[in-house]
Amino acid sequence: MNAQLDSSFFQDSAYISDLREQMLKFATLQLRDKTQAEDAVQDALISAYKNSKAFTGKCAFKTWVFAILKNKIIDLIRGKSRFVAIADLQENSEDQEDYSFMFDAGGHWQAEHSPSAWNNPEGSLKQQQFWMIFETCLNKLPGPQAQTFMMREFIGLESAEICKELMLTTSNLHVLLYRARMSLQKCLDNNWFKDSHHA
Amino acid sequence: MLSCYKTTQYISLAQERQLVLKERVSMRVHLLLCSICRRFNKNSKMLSKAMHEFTKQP
Repeated sequence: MNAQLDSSFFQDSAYISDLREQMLKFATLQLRDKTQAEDAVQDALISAYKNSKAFTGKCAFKTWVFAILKNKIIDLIRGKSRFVAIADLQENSEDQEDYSFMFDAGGHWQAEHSPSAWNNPEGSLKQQQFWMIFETCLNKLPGPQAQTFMMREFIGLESAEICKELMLTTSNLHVLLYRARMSLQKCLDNNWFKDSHHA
Repeated sequence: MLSCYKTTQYISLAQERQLVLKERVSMRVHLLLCSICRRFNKNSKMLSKAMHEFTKQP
């Protein structure tokens, strides 16, 4: 490999600083702990620096750095989740929200909680402002919901693996994911799609 | 008939495991008859797509 090209990732300070920001955003959402997130990102970048010889393209490099970061995060979650997540699950009242309030006694949608029609959602995905709202909605998820949802849909782990890592039963996991999805959908509905001028 | 509440749970569940025949059929029938749940289902798919895009966001 070309030595000049190898080190160029780390010499391009604007690039590294952007990459670091993205990694931090990702790690913070996962870990809910700024200090831990910063440590994980730092570790991942150091591993990446040591092994950057193998990469010639920025795209491959970024994928690979994120793969290292994901592993660091999983290790950290493994270490702390057994007691943290499960304790939260029982005590965090926010997390007891079962979303039945959105339905009447017969299980039909309450008018004020019915989902609105999302106009031109594809167009929304191209707007910076949409992603700010999206991130805010993600950040509002209670700990265990955020943790399981991000493991499932951001990192892309299988349900079985998440259950094993977090010592959750399958039905617990399904409930958490359901609540996370309901909460996100409602949050996007209220803060983005109901404002028709965005669409 | 399946309630809207249960239908929303099945819609989420279907992303985790294959629904058994009975679940799948009752959900399909409900969706045929209920426009609000059809809308919810459509929004759910969009949410998954957005999440997928979010992982690729700069």
